[in-house]
Amino acid sequence: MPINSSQKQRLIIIGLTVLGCLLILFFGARAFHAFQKFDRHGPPDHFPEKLETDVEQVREWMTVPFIARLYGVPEPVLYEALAIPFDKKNDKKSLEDLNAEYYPENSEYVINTVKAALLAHQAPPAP
Amino acid sequence: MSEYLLTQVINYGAPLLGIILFIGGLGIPLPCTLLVVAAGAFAHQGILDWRITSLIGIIGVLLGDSLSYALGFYSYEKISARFRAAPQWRQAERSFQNWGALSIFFSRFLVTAIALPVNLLSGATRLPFQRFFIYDLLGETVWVFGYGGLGYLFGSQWETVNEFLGNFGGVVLGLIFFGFGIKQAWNWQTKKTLSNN
Repeated sequence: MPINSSQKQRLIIIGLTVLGCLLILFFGARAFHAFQKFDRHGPPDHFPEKLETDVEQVREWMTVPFIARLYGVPEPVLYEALAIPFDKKNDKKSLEDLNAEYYPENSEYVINTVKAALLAHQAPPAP
Repeated sequence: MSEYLLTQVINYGAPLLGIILFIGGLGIPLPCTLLVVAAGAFAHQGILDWRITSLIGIIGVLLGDSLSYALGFYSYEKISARFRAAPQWRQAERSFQNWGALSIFFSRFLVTAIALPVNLLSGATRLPFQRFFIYDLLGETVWVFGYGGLGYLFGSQWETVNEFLGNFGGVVLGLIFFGFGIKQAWNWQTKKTLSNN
């Protein structure tokens, strides 16, 4: 049965409004969920030098020099923990690339070791 | 892709970010908003200089946008030859002359998914380049300083900021569809009432 122009117009209107509502609901729920996460983590206010302390913020795309700067830990400390040579060649590689190159059989070894080294290097909290 | 680009941005800094934003301005789908928010956070963390990064970022994206405008501009003859007779095309041209500036401004940061079609349409409908450039500059400045500023403000929480902004853009797109549907319904109803009278 052919669709006349009035039916076509009605279909377009229904399609647009329904699609609009679906997009609003779907992305609205996700935006709300993201908004709720804002206060759950982040650097504590008493860190005026902007150093990161939460090791759960370490990501596999980060490089060792970047992490060293972010957490205020000397680069050699991290390379030593990883048992990876401290040289320029490794400076530009992500943790994921270092893992693939040096510990291919052990996934997430590099990121977990870096997190442990950062925690070990952080000063214990004052009593 | 996003993770690879983030690694390269922390390695090569603002010049690479400028190149990525230039390519993004040409319409190649790259996670440009994510990188702008992340760059703000990197500036907060002292990895990037916010002045140089924002300047290079804005120059890069403006060049990309201008090139995609030029693409639309120089394909005008082809497009026009094909659609000139269609009343819809003439209506689109007229409507873009009236509303194009606002579309350019808001598509830079609010509904970035339509930025490329808006650039092409701006060129194809012969919107004066100066007008395009001014609104493009204003919109991209809001994008770089607004989104980058949020990254700077929230620091290590920039991933959450990016997640929120991406979804907020989806909500705005939904509102546009919904609003357009309501407008169509209104026009249709008005037309029907007039024809009944």
